Order: sequence, then structure tokens, then C-alpha cells
Amino acid sequence: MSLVKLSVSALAVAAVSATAAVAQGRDNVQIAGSSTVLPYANIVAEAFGAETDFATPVVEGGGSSTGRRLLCEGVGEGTIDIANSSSLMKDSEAEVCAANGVTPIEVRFGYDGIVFASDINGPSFAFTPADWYMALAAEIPMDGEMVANPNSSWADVNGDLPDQAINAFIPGTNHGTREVFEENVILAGCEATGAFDAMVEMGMDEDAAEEACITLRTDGASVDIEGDYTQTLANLDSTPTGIGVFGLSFYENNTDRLQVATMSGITPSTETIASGEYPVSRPLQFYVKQEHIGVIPGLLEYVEFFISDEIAGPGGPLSEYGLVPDPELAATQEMIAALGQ
Amino acid sequence: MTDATGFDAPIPPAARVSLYERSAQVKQRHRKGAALRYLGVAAITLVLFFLAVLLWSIFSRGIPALFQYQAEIEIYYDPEILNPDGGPVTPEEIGDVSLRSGFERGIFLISLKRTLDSAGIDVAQVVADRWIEEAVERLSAAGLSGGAEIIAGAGAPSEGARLLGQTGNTLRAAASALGGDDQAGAVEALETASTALAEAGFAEAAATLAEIAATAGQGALSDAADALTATGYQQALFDAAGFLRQPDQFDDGDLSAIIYAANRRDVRDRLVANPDLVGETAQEGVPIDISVTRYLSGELSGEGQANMPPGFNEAQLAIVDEMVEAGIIDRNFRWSFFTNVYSQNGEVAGIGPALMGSAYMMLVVLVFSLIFGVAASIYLEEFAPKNKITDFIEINIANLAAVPSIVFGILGAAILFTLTELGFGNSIRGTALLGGLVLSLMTLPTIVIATRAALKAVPPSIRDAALGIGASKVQTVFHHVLPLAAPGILTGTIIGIAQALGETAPLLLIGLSVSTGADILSSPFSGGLLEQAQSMPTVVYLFAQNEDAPVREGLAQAAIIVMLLLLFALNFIAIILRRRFERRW
Repeated sequence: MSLVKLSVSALAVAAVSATAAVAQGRDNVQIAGSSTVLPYANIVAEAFGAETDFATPVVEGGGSSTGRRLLCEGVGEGTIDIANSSSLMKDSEAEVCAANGVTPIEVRFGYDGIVFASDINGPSFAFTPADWYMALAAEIPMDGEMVANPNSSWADVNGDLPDQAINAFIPGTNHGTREVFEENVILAGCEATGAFDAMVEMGMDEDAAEEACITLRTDGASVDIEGDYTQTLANLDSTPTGIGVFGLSFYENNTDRLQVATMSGITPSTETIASGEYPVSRPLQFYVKQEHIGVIPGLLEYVEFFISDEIAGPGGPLSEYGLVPDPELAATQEMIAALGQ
Repeated sequence: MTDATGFDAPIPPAARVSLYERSAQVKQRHRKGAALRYLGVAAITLVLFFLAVLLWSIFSRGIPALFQYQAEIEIYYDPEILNPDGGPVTPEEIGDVSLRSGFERGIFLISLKRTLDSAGIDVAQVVADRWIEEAVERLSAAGLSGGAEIIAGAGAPSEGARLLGQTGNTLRAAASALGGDDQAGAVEALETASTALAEAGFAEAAATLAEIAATAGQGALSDAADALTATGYQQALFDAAGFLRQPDQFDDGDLSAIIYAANRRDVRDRLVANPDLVGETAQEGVPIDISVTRYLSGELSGEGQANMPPGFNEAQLAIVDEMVEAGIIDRNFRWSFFTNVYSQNGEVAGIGPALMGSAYMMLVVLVFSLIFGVAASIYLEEFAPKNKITDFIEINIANLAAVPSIVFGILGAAILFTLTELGFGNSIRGTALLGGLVLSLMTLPTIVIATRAALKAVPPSIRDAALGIGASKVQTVFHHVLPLAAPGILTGTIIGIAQALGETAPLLLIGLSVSTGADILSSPFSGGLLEQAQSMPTVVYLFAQNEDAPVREGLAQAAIIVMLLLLFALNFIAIILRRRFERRW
């Protein structure tokens, strides 16, 4: 019987402390969103918790779009304060936000390079966007009609590339990276090869031609990875002839397993991406709920801490981890400083 | 009727067979029996093989990760860094010092330098020697012998780099001259290059160049160009010059990258509490960067890009070698793993809050599912009438036990949503209480099934005897049936809890998969159940998707080992309880 007594008292204690806790306000910043931004947010949150007297912010993953959806749910302590995002907010999401009385402020803190890497023991690659289009498109125009992509080896695509079967592991459609990959690599390649113009000549309108450009083959040569980069790496381990799409920071932390390919002759690095020479990169940002600034303790301080030169600038812990610092960080800092007044 | 003919058919006379002789039928039966036995053995072997592979892959990676390489450093609390303006250092000033620039880049860097100094390690010298070694190796690989003396003769490494670079330039000029039509010019360029090599001290290479010049002199310019490319001198000279330029680029950042000293609030707090420490020194073990530990453990040899810890170079590893030699680095059991919070940085990451969060959730599961599970089972088994409604409930409990766990997560999210509408949601999201409740729902059917089986196993004679001597129905159940069924109930409960311990999916949906913001929980009686918690399986997931290989392929397994040990312990307790108290009738 004593067990029953113990459990009843434990329940009572839990119930009492539950009601007690409701009365208190929230004293930590709550963050959710992109798994690409997650490591950076973790680093900043840990440092923020150690450096200041505010509680360590609670950071959760979930994906860019989930984060933005949670942010736009409404205002109040039961909703999150910051959504990490590796892609920009869509108009439809902004409308939901506005309808729920939420004003999201976009804070860009740096760039993420998207690199193409293969097994370190295999041959090295030097790509152009055109190579990727020719390798991965579902159908390519040939003599005035669309034919199924006949290329099975990188050498078929471009005689300078190694004769190695096409096995690409690309980010799935749930990733912010996918959009950049389609936009800056596949579509750019489609235009560079003249395929885009050929399709327009064949009578497609521009939207249809664009759609045809980024429709990728589904015969197994290109595999969508829905998980994160560790899964892409695991796929490369089992298929050493594959080429994977990674973030720069992931590559830099795994240089013992991966070798990086050049794109249009440029080797990806924080320098070439910041200068814009390397063509495939995307901005990383988070959205702050303006209504919570001044209400949730430490929210504004966290944002200021995140984009300070000491953290997000060159030589800071984020760039050491692989973030490409934003050359216009000072403008963002001014914008946030203006919010605090 | 056609099938009636079957009865009319004559029964064949039984064949006369000897019992000593195996008929074909018996042989076939024996073969079948043997095949089945072999299949069974094969199946078990296969299962054991996979189990062995699983355990090996977890333990071979997890056990080494439970040990950590640390640099024993004389921490010197330098007053100049704590108060750059000079004068006495007050606690307020220390409290304002930035952890990153003041402690990580200041105190720890200076202390590392001092420690290296007092161990007799000249960092600049080690770095220079290492790069000179690389350069000499590169030169001799291309057939340019005598590199060591030449570089030493040039003085500082940067001087050597200049000399090699200039020599390389003459070779490049010769190569481009060979690409043109001007034979005389090409020969002259080759001779200049030959002279440059001879002057630098590469006698053999100079001779080779002279031969190529002779070839070019005979008009075979393209042969000469091929021969020049084949030597590989130019590339080797430029590469070696590149290596020799490295020592000048080695800075404090490269040195402090070897140790991990970020976010050291503990040190700042210690100084605020006791400002007398300023100007003093104290011995302290500081974790070595987690990528370097792969070099120290021998996993990466440090030769070539594929064996280089990501983000490090040969010179840094040379310093690490010197530190090992001087006995500054040692390997200790990583107790902090069990108390620290999760961190993006593998050097300090731990499972403290996750262990506590999981323990608290198990506590909640124990309380809730035991009370409700036992109550439901007693009612169903002892009091409820047997009719269609109870049959329906029974079937549904059995069905509930097979519902995928993610469904319970969705249910938990729905509860959370309702609570948020009522204004409770935020205080309960991500807490051990909510996690425990959701896991209880999941465990309840298991416990109900086990409890009912245990109650059923108590023979009716016990009940009849109790009722016969005048006990009421309630007295019968609580005084006689329940105590006898208790071991079975506890076994079922423990197995149910062990299952709940490893459950990940429901927790992802109710805010328990956070990476930061969870701290060591306070006691359950002072609100610990309502603090932001983590759980073991979600932390394993966080470790497993970390970008650093040693976290992904070490700490994740170490956390799994802890979880497996907990499961084994729970199952062991269940077995003991069963052995001890189980009664057979």
C-alpha cells in the first residue's frame, strides 16, 4: 500500500508545482527550425548562456518550414520567439503571420556554401553547372524533341570528367538546400547548355521550360536524401563512386573522408563564397518575433549576441565551424540596434 | 455420386518391410528432420552474428569515447588580461571579461604557451622543423636531393622559400620558352635554369637540365618540353616553397585550436568568488580538440589529407607530438560525460540532463501506468461482468499495445495543444511530466496485459478460501490475490518501462528533443518534473547527426552503451524479482 501512497503524494506534488509554474512568466528564449542552422544556433545559445546571466535559450530542430509555421502561430508565451531558417519566408507564410498578428524580422547572419564532394580515395572532379544539368535532367532537348537523359557516366556528360557512373546524392525537396541547388546549378546549367533556349524554340513557354529544366531523372542515377548530411555521407560510404551535395561546414569537418569538387574552376572556401566567386551558396537567417522583444527576457540580447562581430564575424566561433561571414553584418547590427530603442 | 467410388477401391495390402531397413519414406523423414535442425542452427548463428556485429560496432567506438585526452596546463590568471588598464582587479571587472576574448583567447592561450615553454617546447622551432621536413621530403620525392642542406644554408625558412621559388621561376620560364618557336631562347632559358639549380645546390637536377638543354639545342623542342615536365622539378620547388612559407603563417589561433577552452564560465565564476587567485597559477586538465583525439588514438595517422584531422595541419600535430613526449597530454576517464549538458562541441558534451530526464520520465511512467494499469486490470479481472462491453475493451487494450509509438506522440501533441488553449501548454511543453504521461499511455496496455495474466495465474482456490472464511471481495483481492500476483505485475511493469526508456518518436513531437536549454533537473519534489528536459534517445539522435565524426561515431555509441546498461539493469531486476517471489501452483 505504501507504493500507492507514495505515488498519490508524488502526483499531488506534481499538480501543485504545475499550478505554481503557470503563474511565472517564461524566462528563456525558445527557438526552433532549420537543421542547417541548428549547429550555429547551438553554438551561440551555449555561449550566450555561459557569457550572460540570462537562461540558456532552448533550441530545437524540426526544419525551416516547421520553424516558420510555429513562429507564425501567434503571439504569447506559448509560442516560439525565433525561427531558424535556411530559406526565405514565402509570401503565403508571411500572410499567415500577419493574420495572426506576428511581425517577423528577418536577420541574416551569414552564408552557407553548397559543395559537391566525393570519396577521398576516388578521382577528383571539376564541374560546371552545365555538367550537372546534363547529368541529372530527366529529359534533355535533342534535335528538336525532348528525349530521356541518355547519359550514364560523367564522361558521357563531359569528356574531361572521369569515366564514372552517375550516382548523385542530392538534398530532398524538404531541404532549403534543394531550392538553391535547382536554382544556381541545374537551372543555370540548363541555360548555359542552351537547352533552355532550345525548349523555348520548341514551343514551350518560359515557365514550362524552367519546370522541364529542374525536373530531375528518377531512374536511380540521382537519389534524394531526405535526412541530413550524415545520411549523405553514409550513402557515399556505401557507394564510393557517388557524388554528394553537402554544406561547406560539413565538408570542412569531414575532410578526412571527402574531397571537394570545383565549380566552374572555383574551389569552395569561406573566402571564395564571401566574395561571390563560388556560385552556389545561400543566405542563412533567422526570424525574430518583434512582438516578443522586450517581453521575453534576453531575446534582444540573444539576437545582438548572435550577430556581434565576436560571434558571427570572421574568426568567430561560427566561421570557425564553417559559416561564411556576411560582409554586410554591420548593417544587420544597426537594424537590430535600432529595434532596441 | 462420383466420389463414392473412393470407398469401393480395394485397399492395397500393406507392404512387407523390415523394421531394420529404412524405407524411402523414413529416410525422407530423417532428411527433413535434419534439414530443419540445420536451418535452426543456421538461423541462430545468423542472429548471433548480427548481434555480435551490433555490439562490436557500439562497444568498439563507444568505449574509447568514454576516455578523454586532456592537456595538463598551468593556468595562469594573468592580471593584464583580467584588467587591461592595469591596477587592482575587482570581482566586477572579472565578471565583465568576455569568455571568448578574455579567457579562451587570453588566459588559456597564455597558459598553454607558458606550459609549453616550461616543458622546453619551442613552438616556432617545432613548426619550422616540421615544415622543413615536409619540404625536403617533397623535393627528394621529385629527385631533388640535398634539400635539407640547401634550406638550412638559406637561413630562415622564408629565405629558403624565396630561393626555391626563384629557382622554380627559372624553370617555369624555361618551360614557357620551350612552348614557343625560339630555339635559341629556349636553350638559353634552360641553361639559366640549370645554372640556377646548380647555384641553389641541386647538382644532379642541374645536370639533368643541361641534358634537356642539349636536346633542345638539337631542335627537338617538344621532346625537351616533355622531358622537362617529366622531371616534375618545377612543381616540387613551388610546393616546397609553399611549405616553407607556412611557419610565418602559424599564429596563436593555430596553437590554441589544439585545446578546447570555450565557454569557461566556471573559471570566471571561480575568479569572481576568489579574486586572490589573480596572478596565481593552478594545474588544470583542459580537453584536447576532439578531432586531434583521433590522431592521438591512432585512428588517423596524420599523413596526407585523408589521414589529417579536419581543420589541422602537420605543424599542429608536431606540437601535439611534442606535448605527448613531454607528458603534458594524458588520457582520463570522462566523468564529465555523465554530468555535462549536451553541447555542439564534442569536447564538453554530456548526457547529464538526458539521463535525469529519462529517469524522471520513467518515474512518472511507473507512478501513472502502475496505478492506472493495476486498477484497470483488477476491475476487469475481478469485478467486471463478462459481457460484450468488457470483451470490446479487452480487444482494444490488446490492439492498443500494438499501436506504433509515433501515434502516441501525435496524441501527446494534441493534449499539448489543448492545454495551450487553456493556458497551461507552455509550462508543460518539453517537461519530463508531459513526456512521462505520453510514455505512460504507451506503456499502459503492456502493463494491463501483464497484470491480468498475473492475476489470472492466482488459483481460484485462494479466492474461494478467502471468501469462505468471510473475507469481502475487496479484502480477498487486496489481501490475497494482489500480493500473490505482485511479482508478475512488477515484471510486466519493468519490461514496459524498459520499452518506454528507448522510445524516441513520441518525444520528438512534444518538445523533448531540444539541443540546448536543458540543465540538470532539480528534485522532483521541487518542480524538477516541470523543467525543460532532454531524454536519452533524443540525445543519441543529436549526437548521431553531429558534423564531427568523433561525436557521430563515438559519443553517440557511448550514450547508447549507457542506455543499454540501464536496460540490462532493468531486465536483470525483473528476472531477480521473478525468480525470488514467483510462486507456482
